[in-house]
Amino acid sequence: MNTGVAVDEQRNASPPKSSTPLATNPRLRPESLIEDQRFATPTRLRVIAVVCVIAVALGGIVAWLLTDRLVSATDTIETSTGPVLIDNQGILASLAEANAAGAAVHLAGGDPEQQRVFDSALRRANVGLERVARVVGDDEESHARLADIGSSITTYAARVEGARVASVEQLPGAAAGLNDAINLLRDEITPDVVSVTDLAQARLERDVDTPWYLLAVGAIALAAIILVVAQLWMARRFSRLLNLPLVLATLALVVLGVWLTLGFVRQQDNLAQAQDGAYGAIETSAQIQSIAFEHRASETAAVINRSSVDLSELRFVLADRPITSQDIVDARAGSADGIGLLFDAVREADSPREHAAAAEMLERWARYRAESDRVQQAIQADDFDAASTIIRGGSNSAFTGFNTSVEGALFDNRSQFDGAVSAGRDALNWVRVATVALTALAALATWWGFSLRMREYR
Amino acid sequence: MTPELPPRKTRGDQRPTRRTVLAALASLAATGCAPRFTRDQNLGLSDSVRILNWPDYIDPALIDAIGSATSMEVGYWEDWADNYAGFDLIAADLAAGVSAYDIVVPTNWLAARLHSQGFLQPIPLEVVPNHVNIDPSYLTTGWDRGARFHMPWQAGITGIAYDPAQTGREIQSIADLFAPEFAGRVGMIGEMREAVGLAMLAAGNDPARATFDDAINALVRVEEANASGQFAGWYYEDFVTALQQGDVAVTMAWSGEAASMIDARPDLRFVIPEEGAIRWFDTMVIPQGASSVGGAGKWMNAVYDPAVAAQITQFVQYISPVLGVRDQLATLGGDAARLAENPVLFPDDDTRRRLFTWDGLDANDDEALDDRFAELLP
Repeated sequence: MNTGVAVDEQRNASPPKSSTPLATNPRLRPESLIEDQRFATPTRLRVIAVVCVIAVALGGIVAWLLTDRLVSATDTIETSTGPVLIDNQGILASLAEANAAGAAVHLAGGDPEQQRVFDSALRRANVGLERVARVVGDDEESHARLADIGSSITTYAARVEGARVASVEQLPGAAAGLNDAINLLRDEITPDVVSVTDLAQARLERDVDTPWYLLAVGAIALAAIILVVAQLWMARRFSRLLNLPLVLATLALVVLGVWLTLGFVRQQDNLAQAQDGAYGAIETSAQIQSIAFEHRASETAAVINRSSVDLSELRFVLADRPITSQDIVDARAGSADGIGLLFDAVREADSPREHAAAAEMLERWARYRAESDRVQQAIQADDFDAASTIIRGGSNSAFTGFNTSVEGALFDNRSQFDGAVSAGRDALNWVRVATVALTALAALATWWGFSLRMREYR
Repeated sequence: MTPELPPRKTRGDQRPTRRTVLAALASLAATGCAPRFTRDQNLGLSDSVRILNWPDYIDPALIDAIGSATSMEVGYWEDWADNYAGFDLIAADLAAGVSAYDIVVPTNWLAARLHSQGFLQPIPLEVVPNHVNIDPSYLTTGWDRGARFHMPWQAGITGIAYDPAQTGREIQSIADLFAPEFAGRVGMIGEMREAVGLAMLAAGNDPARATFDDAINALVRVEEANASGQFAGWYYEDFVTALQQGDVAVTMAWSGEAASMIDARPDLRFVIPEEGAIRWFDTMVIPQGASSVGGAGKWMNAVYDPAVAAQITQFVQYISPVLGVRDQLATLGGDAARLAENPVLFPDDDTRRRLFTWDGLDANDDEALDDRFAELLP
């Protein structure tokens, strides 16, 4: 291996300019040189070596601490904040589905199929709630909210069941009981779930926003600069072009700096993709579900209460106009020119698969809306029996199709979110180990480089 | 054309036992990984596809027609004799992470198991625009809401078939399978989820939300009836012969075979009992390791074209999971139009609400029931 030793020996092969002690050679007595030689004594060299090694070690320690903090923050996103955010959207969607099914159960006088949907949706909401409680960490406020939600869901389920029994037994107050349940969901449970989401959202932003990490790169860069200066000083004092161990130490720090920077950039890229791309799409899909369920529940409640209902605003939030076949073709190609959450979902899709999923959502919404229009026509004609038949038949099927198409899209987005966060975490996989290893290498090489010079004195 | 009886669910002599298959599934689970959609799913080849399906589940001429229409070379094997034998064909490949087939067609419950153990790839939606034609009632399975990992092939109903001349009255209830007046003249289907499911319905329980206690209670009722000599035998597709020959007066029955049977013997009956019936479906899935995911997607898209699906329905006479098939059949006229009016192939809303697909138990409970049920079979 070609080391500094070999280079030094080669350079030392030429005879010294003088064998006369410095003190007796007048040509070599300028004051500055004397001063420099004092600095080049073994003691001085040892002091400088220790300073350089400490600088390298400190740089490494600072980098390790900050890297460890960054990895922990990313771990938190992967194992806690991300799952909480996603599960909360799932809880909202499940509760909204339960709400719509609960109304349908009531309408159909205990329809077992809708009862099954209701039970299944409520079970999913409770499972999601348990999962959130497990992973939310030490956040007391979140735990307090989750406890409230759990208790309220129990009350909600009891009210819906009470309404169902009253409906089946044709007892008075069934509709009022159902309305109480719907109000509880809307006024208490949903805001609590949203507040848990907000808390998790704030944690996500805090954990993603990590510019302080650049200090780690700065610390390593500073240590590298110190080594470069030391190298230049040694080159001047000892007429050595290179001290290979010091060069090796500097290179190790440069590699570490590049590694830290690339890891950070990749981590940030992936988290941005998870946050802005996948989570944005998850939010959109969950909003679509919630609005659609509200649409469905309002329509069902209108038939139960034998009253009319204006659904135009809810429809507008989803799509500003009826979906056309051209909209579906455009969605498959990834473009959308309409206003509303469904068109937003098309615009947020960024792969052929997601475009296909968004197009399916549009098409199934169009089918459900056509059935809903039939319900509206029956209501306007005061034919509530016909409206009820449609709601329990074609409309129910079309709504199930639409709802599950959104759930399918949510599944894709969720997988994408998980994948992006995992990739962000993977980008930091070896950074901590690399920091320790390369810093140790740099420190040892630094000491080695100085020790070569010190050995010459001996 | 009179469709041939699709000999579904035949049991080969060499088939592995339920226990060995379930044990194999459990051991394979260790090699599986959680299914995950990635944005850049590798579609692999798209100019060929290899399909493993049940026997006589499609008109062979239609396979060629689809191949020509999609410009694909279609390899089609009918070796999926039943779920146990079929699984045995693919188990070794699954363990090795490869697959000799791009599409296999297990029954819903086995597809759920394969999915839970990470052996399935997502459906490549980008090449399956007809995914939108899946009947919504198949999109709500607990294991794959939205059908991201499967596309149903055909569905059927397990109800009751009977010979009015032998029963002397109409049959409307599952309770009739256990009625003393028919002791020794009742046929049962040897599928746990169907036999126990019907017994659960008779007890007022929901097989779509099965609990272990409810299922065990139903199984005990079946065991007691079996021990008392209530049943003449356990059948699969051969319940048709048993009923036609008078070996049984009333029997659990599959709707597809029953439809063909009634074509030949209009005096026989098939009913969906008033308590409800079991709906099952076989479903197309793409195993991990399949090399032609794009080709699989093209095939799935082709068979989900309502016009193609209508031809399949004409041939197999099972319930199509494809929206629009009924309209297609109606426009064809003749026998096809008559199929469009068949209430078993196209149940109305009230009937659909009385159809239940077995779901709800975890794998261990399911396995325990399977093992105990297997002891009933000869």
